[in-house]
Amino acid sequence: MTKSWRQAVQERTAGVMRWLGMQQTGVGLPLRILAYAGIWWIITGGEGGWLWGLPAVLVAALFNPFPTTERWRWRLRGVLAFVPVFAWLSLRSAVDVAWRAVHPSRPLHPALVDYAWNVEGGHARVFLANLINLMPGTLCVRFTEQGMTVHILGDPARTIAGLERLEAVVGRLFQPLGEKDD
Amino acid sequence: MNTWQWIGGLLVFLGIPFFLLGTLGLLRFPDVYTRLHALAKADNVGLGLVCIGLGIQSGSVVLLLKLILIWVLMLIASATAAGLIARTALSRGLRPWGT
Repeated sequence: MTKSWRQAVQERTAGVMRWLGMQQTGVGLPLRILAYAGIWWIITGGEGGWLWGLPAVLVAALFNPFPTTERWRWRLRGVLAFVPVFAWLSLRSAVDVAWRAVHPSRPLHPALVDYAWNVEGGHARVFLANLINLMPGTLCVRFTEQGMTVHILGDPARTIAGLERLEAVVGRLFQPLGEKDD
Repeated sequence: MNTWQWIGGLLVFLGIPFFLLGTLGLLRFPDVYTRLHALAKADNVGLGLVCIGLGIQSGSVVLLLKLILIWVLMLIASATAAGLIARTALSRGLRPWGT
């Protein structure tokens, strides 16, 4: 045995303390409570059960399992602008891939393209990298500090132009705290 | 059947072909990357249309919201899973077909 249980307990305790220290409990708390209460209301079918629901909502809102050091919040105007763009591009993306699947000659022109980040902030980049998996002809296959590698199915120039437009929309979703909203 | 039920039924009807074609892509496309394209994109729109259609048909706002919530969670899971599989495949040296 390499570690005594006492050491293990100490390490675990230090980990928990670090995690607690990283919690930014105040940031966006009202919005999180509202959002989680809404989710509880939806999954209980509007019937309540708040005796269990309220503690669950509060604990979920107070403790983030994956705390970050970045401070940001959603920008409402950005979210409202994002939803129709997402709906339209999803539909286009599904029609595009369906067309490639049924076409007798199976028109696929795969290529790997490197794409450098314009947007700042880890959360925006992770969001974009996941989002493009649902967008027309793009799939994120590598994620680094400088950018990402994208697997594409069609014309590279058009795809990159589309990615840049999408990145601008994603950038407007997040507002770093300490900056004034425009 | 009232108007809402017709609209809901129409959305479900529109959603089904996307599942079918996504699966066709899974069978016809040549490698893991192109297959991920087919699955992630087509199934999500298919599920979205089916969920919204069923929610509208049910005539209950809470049920509609619940189905939309399920769809959104599925979108997150599907985008993340596709990305993880693709990144793992590339980092293990799997060359994309045609490159």
